[in-house]
Formats: sequence, structure tokens, C-alpha cells
Amino acid sequence: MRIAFLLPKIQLAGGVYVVLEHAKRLVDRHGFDVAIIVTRDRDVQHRHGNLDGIRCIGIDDTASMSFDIAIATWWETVYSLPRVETGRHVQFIQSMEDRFYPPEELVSRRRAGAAQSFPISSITEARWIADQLHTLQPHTPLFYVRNGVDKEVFSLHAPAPTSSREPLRIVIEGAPDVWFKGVPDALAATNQMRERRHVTVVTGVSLPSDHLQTLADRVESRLTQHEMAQLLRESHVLLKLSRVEGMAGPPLEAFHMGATAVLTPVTGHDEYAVHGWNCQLVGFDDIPGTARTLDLLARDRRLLHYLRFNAVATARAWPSWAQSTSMFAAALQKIASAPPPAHAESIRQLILDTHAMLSAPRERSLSPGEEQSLQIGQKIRSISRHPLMAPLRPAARLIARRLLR
Amino acid sequence: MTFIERITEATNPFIKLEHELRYGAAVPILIESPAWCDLGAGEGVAAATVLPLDFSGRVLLVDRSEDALREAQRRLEYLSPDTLVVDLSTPGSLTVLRDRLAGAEWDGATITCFEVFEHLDDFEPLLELLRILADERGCTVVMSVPNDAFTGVENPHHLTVWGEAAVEELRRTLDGSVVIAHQLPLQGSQILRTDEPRIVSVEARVVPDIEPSHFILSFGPRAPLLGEGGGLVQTDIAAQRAWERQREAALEYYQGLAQRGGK
Repeated sequence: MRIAFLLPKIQLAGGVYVVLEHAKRLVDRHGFDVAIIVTRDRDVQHRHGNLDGIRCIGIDDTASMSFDIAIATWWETVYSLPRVETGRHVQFIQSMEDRFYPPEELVSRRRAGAAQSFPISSITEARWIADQLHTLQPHTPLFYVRNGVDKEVFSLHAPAPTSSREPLRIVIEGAPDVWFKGVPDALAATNQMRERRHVTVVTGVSLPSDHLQTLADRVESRLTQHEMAQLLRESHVLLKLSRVEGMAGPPLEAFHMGATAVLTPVTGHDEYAVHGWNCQLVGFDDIPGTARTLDLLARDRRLLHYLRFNAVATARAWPSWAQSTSMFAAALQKIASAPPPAHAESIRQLILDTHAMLSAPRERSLSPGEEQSLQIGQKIRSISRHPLMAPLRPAARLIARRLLR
Repeated sequence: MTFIERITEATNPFIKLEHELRYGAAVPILIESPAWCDLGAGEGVAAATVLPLDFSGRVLLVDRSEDALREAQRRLEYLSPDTLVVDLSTPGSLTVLRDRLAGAEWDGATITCFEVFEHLDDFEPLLELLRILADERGCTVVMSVPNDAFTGVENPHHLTVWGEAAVEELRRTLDGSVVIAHQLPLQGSQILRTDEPRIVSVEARVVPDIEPSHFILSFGPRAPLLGEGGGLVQTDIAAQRAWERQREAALEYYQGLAQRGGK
């Protein structure tokens, strides 16, 4: 079977890593012919180990090629699907990606959201995503395949009981400048702890800020997976206060290495996290509560050991990459064997039209006069929202209504 | 040495009962079928206990152990079974199986596949074959997987790990008509005044929302016929104690041996 994965670019990121893990095993273990089509980046030559035996091509060089299935892996790449000659379109959805953008990034938010609404088959890694997609597209084939864990790197490690005489060893993972990763909140919580702690921050940033260095005992950047595994093995708790995740992998990797986690009930946590069994869940924005939870684990080492002990049992039951890709291959076989979509050309046109509509520069949709009116309106709105304007609002509303009449 | 996961006459009676119940659940489907193929048939211990004596269709027992199949053929002699020795984890062997089931007499057959998937390093080729047999040949598949995710026990014989989430993944790769049943463990006790053995009937209230020990899946045209059933077996606690002590002692002995460098 000829498969094309569409990626915007090949980079060291969780979502890309997941795609490459599947791609490599589809070739090595399942005999699929796999190509990576890069849609944004012009550089298609990379040294990633998982790319051995896989063709990487730019989207502009695919004109003479055809595939049985083309798989979009990030919302941007959905809009490139019509450019690929293929029998089936599939989306591999690792999160509801419109959530990555704050409200002011309206265009990206809308384009990402629209990409999820096209009636094409989907494979997703978490049940909360599957449930939402089913609500959006109840008649579209939908497959659920959990991401695997590299069991050779994150090999199961039984935790040794610890004494409260040693500090609670905490790892915070994530990019500090990405708003939904919650790293500043995590650092604030560890700094409000009363018990002894040792905090390591792991970030993808090559030059961590001085501020970060002062808040943490140790800062590590760009760790390899083996280095991350070793760090987790030496630690007791992974602290992760994310606000948006598809199915966060790091807590699960921590479980494999005998560490528990303190985490927010972020989307996807329910795939493996059970409060009081293998982790502690804390509320969003509850920094004092998070600090007290960490203090509890620092004091009550029997509870800490119980959570770590069960975390390893949870990890043991989690699929390896080999098992995960077997399920991914089964989903692709099912998609390939189903009758072709009845309205393939209409769907293709729908994607192209949506792309054209949402890509149009905003200023072109408004005349200069309309643009000026819009700016005046926005100014009036911001003034009327000022707290000092509150007593005048009823009168202002009355005047506005009369004017509009 | 006998593969420790294989069901034999010496297997723990409770585990044997679980396996018999799985075959029992397949019987309503089987009796409506022209043929039966049992993948991972082993020694046929459980099948021989519950399968109807008057089944007249073709029977094919499949396993990777020739010795086990010879024993199964003897036990199920009344069904005149054929046998096929293949390792279900290799695509080449699956081609042999596919060829063996190619004849029209296998259209609409029942295929049982209990406690097999977890032993396969790559289950996708077998799953694909079963799906094709169900979709294109009218076969009905009845299979089971253990709830490893709940027990969390490290089993060196299980090459893939199954549980509620994995079953949900599997369900979505099959057609919407998959029937899923939960196998739930029971515990019990009995007071007896006589010295004579007797059959007792015991009632138990069974609620569905507790963790199952196994998941039974059925797909194909006759999947809705999947049966239910329960049972109790007497626990011979003396035999159980002997077996457990033997295992613990052996474990300690070999651990000590390993620590002394194998001398």
C-alpha cells in the first residue's frame, strides 16, 4: 500500500515524532510504501533516524506520483490534500488544533477549526478528540489509535521507596513561552512549596532565560529521549500544568520510569491518569493548591510510593510503538478496503474553497471606508468597556438604539 | 516443556472454566454454521467440554504446536477435525491458512480465536484476514483478549497489551456491528452436609459495571447470536496450596542459584 504523510516541516516536535514513529514501522514491519510530503519547508533532507528508508519530497514535486492514502497530519496540511493524487484522504488528528491559538489569532484559529470539519476519514490518538470529531462528523469513519511509548528507552523501572529526609525531586517539562504549557504556573507552585524540593526544568529552548535559571535548581534544554528517561528515573514527580493537550506523553513516560505526576485535568489525561491511584490531579490556576499537593507528596512518602508503584503498573499496560502501529496499519487497511467516498470531487472542492475563503487577506474584503468605520467602532467599544464608563452605559445604549433606528 | 499459558488438564480449574465459558458463548453461533475453525486450538481441552456432539460441519483446528494439535484431534475425535500447524504471527503462515479456508465450504464458517492476539508480536495481518473473512465470506468471528490493563501483571508471554482502550481501538477498525461481551470473575463458597458429590446450583447477582477479566468480541453476520453463560468450579485449596508453594519454592531456588552465579 502506498501511503503519503503530509507534514508542514520535519522538526523536533512531539507531533512530528509520532508521525515518524508510525511511518518507520509501517515500512519496516508492515511492508507499506511510505513517503513524507513536506508542504511548507523547502528543505526535505533531514537526519532523523526514523527517516531511514522513507522518501521525503516537497509538495511541488508530487505531480507525477499517486498514493493509495494521503494522510494530513496538521491542519495546514489538510489544505494541501487536494494537490496530492490519491484514492483516499485521511486526517491524523493529534489535537483539536484551533485550541493552540489565542482568540486574537482569529484567522489561524478559524482555518484550523475548519480543517476538522471536512468529511474525510480520521485517525486520532485520544477519545476526547474522537468524541468531538464524531459530534462534528457523525457519518465519517473515525479510528482511535493511542500513541505508543518507546519501551526500550522508557523501559519499566520499579521505584525505590524514598525518605522524607531527601527533597522531593520534581521535573517540569515544556516550553516556558508557549502559553498553554503552563510552565510559569508550575514554577510558581514549586516556589510556594513549604517542604524541601529540587526542581529541574526541561525545555526545548536552547538558551533558557536568567529568570528561569533563578526559579529552578537545574535547567536542561533539548534533552535526548535517553537523557529524559534517565532524568525521570532519578525523579519522583513530573509536574505538568498544561491547558491544551491531545494526549500528553511526558506523564506517561514518567510513569514508565517510576515517577508519578501532578497534573491538571487537561484534555487527554483520562487516557491514563487516575487521581489518587497513579497521580494527583490539581485544578487549573490553583497554584496554592498545587503547592500544597506537592508538599503532601514531599511529607507522605508512603503515598508517594503508592502513586509511583501504580504508575508503573499503568505504564506496563500501555502499548508499545509496535502495537500502536499495528493498530494504525489495521485502520489504514480498513480505510483502503472501504468503497471510495461517494462525493470525493465535491470534498476536494470544499477544501479548496474553504482554503481560498480563509486565506484571503482581510483588508481586501473591506473597502477603505468600511475599514475606517470598523476601526472607529472598535475604538468606541474599547472606550465603553472602561470601568469609568459603567454609569454612562445605559444612557449610551439608549442613544445608540435611537441612532440605529 | 508445556507452554505455561496453554490450557491443559492440569490448568487451574478456574482458568479452565473461563476458557470453557468462552467456547460456550460461541456455541449459538457455531451450531448455525456450516464449518468451524479454531485458531489457537491448543489441546482442545475447553472445546471438548462444551461443543455439541452432533455438529456435522467441517472442523479445522489451528495451532503452532503439532503435539498440542495431536492431543486436540484425539479429544475432539467425534467431530473428525482436520489440523493445521501454523504460527499465526507470520504473514507467510497466514497465507497458508487463507488458502486452507479458500473453498466454498468455509463460506459462513464460525472462526474462534480465544486468547491468541496477546501472544502475537504483530496482530494486524491476522486481524486483516479475519476482517476479510467476515466481510467477504460471511464468516463470523468470536475472539477474546485479556484485560491486562487492569491487572497490570507483567506477563512475558503477552507480546501486546490489551484492555478496555485497546478493545475500543480494535472495535473501530471493524464494522459497526461488533458485539462486545465482558467476562466477569465470580467468587463463591458452598456448605455441604453430605459425603456424596452432587451438583449444586448457586445464584449470583452480577452487575455489568465492574472490571472484566476478559473481553469477548464477535463480528460477522451471526455476531448477535453470541451467547452468555456462567459457572462455578470447586476450589481444591490443598492442591492449589501445593502448586503455589511449589512455584514459590522453585522461584526462590532459581533466584538463589542466579545470585550464586548459576552454580
